[in-house]
Amino acid sequence: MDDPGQVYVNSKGLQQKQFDAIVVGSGISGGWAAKEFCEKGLKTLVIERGRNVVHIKDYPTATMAPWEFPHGLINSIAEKKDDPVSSENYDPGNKSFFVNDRDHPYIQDDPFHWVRGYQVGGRSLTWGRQCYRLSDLDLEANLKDGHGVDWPIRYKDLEPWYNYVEEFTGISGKAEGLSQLPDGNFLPAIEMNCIEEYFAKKISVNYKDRLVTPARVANLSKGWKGRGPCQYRNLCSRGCPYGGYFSSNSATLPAAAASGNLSVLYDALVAEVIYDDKQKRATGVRIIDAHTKESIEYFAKIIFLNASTIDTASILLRSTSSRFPEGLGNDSKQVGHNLMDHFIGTGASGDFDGLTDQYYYGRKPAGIYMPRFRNLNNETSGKEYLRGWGYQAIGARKSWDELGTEVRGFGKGFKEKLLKPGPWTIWIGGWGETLPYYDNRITLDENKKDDWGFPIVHIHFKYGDNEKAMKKDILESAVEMLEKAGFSGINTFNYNLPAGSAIHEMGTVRMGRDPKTSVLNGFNQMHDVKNVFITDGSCMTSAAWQNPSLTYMALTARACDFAVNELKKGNL
Amino acid sequence: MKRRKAIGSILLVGGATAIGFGGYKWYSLTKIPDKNYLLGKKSLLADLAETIIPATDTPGAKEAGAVEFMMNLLNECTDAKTLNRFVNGLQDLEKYSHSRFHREFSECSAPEKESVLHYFDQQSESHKSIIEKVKDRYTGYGFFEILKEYTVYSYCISEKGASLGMRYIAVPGKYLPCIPLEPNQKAWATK
Repeated sequence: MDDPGQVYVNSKGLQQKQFDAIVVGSGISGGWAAKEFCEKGLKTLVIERGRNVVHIKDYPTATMAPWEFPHGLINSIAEKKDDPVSSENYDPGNKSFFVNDRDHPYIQDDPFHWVRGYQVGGRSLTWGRQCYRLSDLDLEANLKDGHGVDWPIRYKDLEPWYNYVEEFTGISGKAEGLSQLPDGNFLPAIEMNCIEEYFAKKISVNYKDRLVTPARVANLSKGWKGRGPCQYRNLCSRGCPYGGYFSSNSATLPAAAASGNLSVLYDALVAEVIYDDKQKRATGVRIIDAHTKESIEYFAKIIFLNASTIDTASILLRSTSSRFPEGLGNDSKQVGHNLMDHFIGTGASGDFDGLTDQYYYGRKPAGIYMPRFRNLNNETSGKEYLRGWGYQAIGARKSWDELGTEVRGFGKGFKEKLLKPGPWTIWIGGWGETLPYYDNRITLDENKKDDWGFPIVHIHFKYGDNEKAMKKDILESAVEMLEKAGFSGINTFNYNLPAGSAIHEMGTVRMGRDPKTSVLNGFNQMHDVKNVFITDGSCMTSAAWQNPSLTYMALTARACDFAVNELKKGNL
Repeated sequence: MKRRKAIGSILLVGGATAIGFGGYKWYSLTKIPDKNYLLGKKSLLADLAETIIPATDTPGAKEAGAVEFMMNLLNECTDAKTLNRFVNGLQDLEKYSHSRFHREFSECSAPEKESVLHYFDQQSESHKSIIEKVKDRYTGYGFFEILKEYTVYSYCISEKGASLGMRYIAVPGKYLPCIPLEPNQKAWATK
């Protein structure tokens, strides 16, 4: 292990048992908690259930050319069989950052793809990097239409913390002055190519209420805090040797380690949070070493759970005590409930007959974005569903992967067409908001245990009529916009992907104003256990329509600030 | 994340699902594929691939070594049904070559090879009526389509195909969103 400072250790390498703060999980929100606590002077232990992944050193495929993979980037039949869920998301280039499904079983009633990355850095290594702020349209939605409970915060509470995390993360994007998608202080946008630019112009001419903007992404269009810039290889999910995008491994964990206050314990699964009924607080966590299965306890004044939406809820549900027989901090009986994901896989693509003398150089890691335009105000409402969606889109000239099946015949003429830039094409797909339904939930199956003796997670999830109605509009609107913009050969798609496919699971430990109907307060603090905070996706009170990671980052930094102040005041 | 799926691709989307199909044809497509037969057909596959992507001023499939990837894809990444279809088709092609030109495909002249492949291309999915296509959803992709897609994929990810047939730059270093197409511009090999 190349770690002279002994920051990254397994349980054999860690003698210390008492810390100021314990952070469970090292993904995007856990990394932020580590950075904030360490920089504020707290001795912090990050606990990661998976293996260690050292930035750059442990990205073995990062610079491999396509021909260096024996069967290219196609998964084998054995991989598909062994990893029916993971293999839908990995390819031979990034496989090592996704779990083996057989090692990590769960039960699905209706199909739910629970896509996991158990390693230091978690899914921050493979995330889509899209960063969008929520607005009061989202934070007031539950209150206004009566689904779920009211968010205990508004945009004014989040705004300074969006500013704060964006300043460190580095988000490339363009300010547009939209109320439903507040601007940040962006690095230069990753520019639109010719077809995207053309499409954007047509949209602004054809629709007063719609706009296309370069995707706002945590890819660095210029060097930032010693990281990047992006080299336009578009191989992000293999890990970036240039630090061209934000991950815990490239950004927050190194910043935390630089303080001298960080220890990262990997290969350690948190079995439970330990609750002391006399002190009325959590005193620490009990872990199980992934390999030796040894059980060890670590203690801290503050505990942050950032294990990811479903795992965090699982930890709470198995942290039972005489005070909390149904799981830690679960007086409301909401833990595990209100599971949400964005629904994706609906949209259209079309070809454009023109701009044939234009091309591009480089492979950009992001396309374009069309923020929500439905149900914003009286003029844009009146549809048969609540809330809305955002479109992500990508424009490109068709290349061999599409031309190979489209161009007829074989031989010289076929080869010539195959290897030249094909017609311009644009692909557009919706990311839709799912309402918080109490019945969409995870439970634990006490009769089935995994390798570490933990009861297996059982996921119960169904989409409702609102999502189905919105899907229809996503499809029809995509076709209409492409037609009006002069595209031809329009293909629609509606894959009916399993829930979970967006990998945006949220909501099992929701924030709220009332301890009777929510688990966390407005600072992500457990109503019932004041020194436990939860700032991963599980805290989300509604899903909103934006990619959620940026909001987890902002909520985490905000909660850390609050927790440290409370600690100083002697309240924790 | 594979959010965008290629339309009509065998490798990227996977074989069609077989539901409610019975009889001999079903058996013949779900039996364990004859991989030994395939192993002996490497040079035939190389010749077929070269007929689909021939050498011109840039390398053809043979020089690019496409057959190495094709063999790996067939052996490791192809479901039993698609593989049986492919093996059946390959055997048909060998028979056809014999009955039409009285020699092995590999012994045929270039125009003869094209003529053989043309016959199988005409038989393929892309030339069938919609009703035939619906029927075929139960039996999977056609031989020629599999051969063609595997050839294209293998050529285009090969070092020579990517960097001589097209343009491959490992580390572009910058992004230029709109630039004029150069005369005889080759496509980028990766996106």
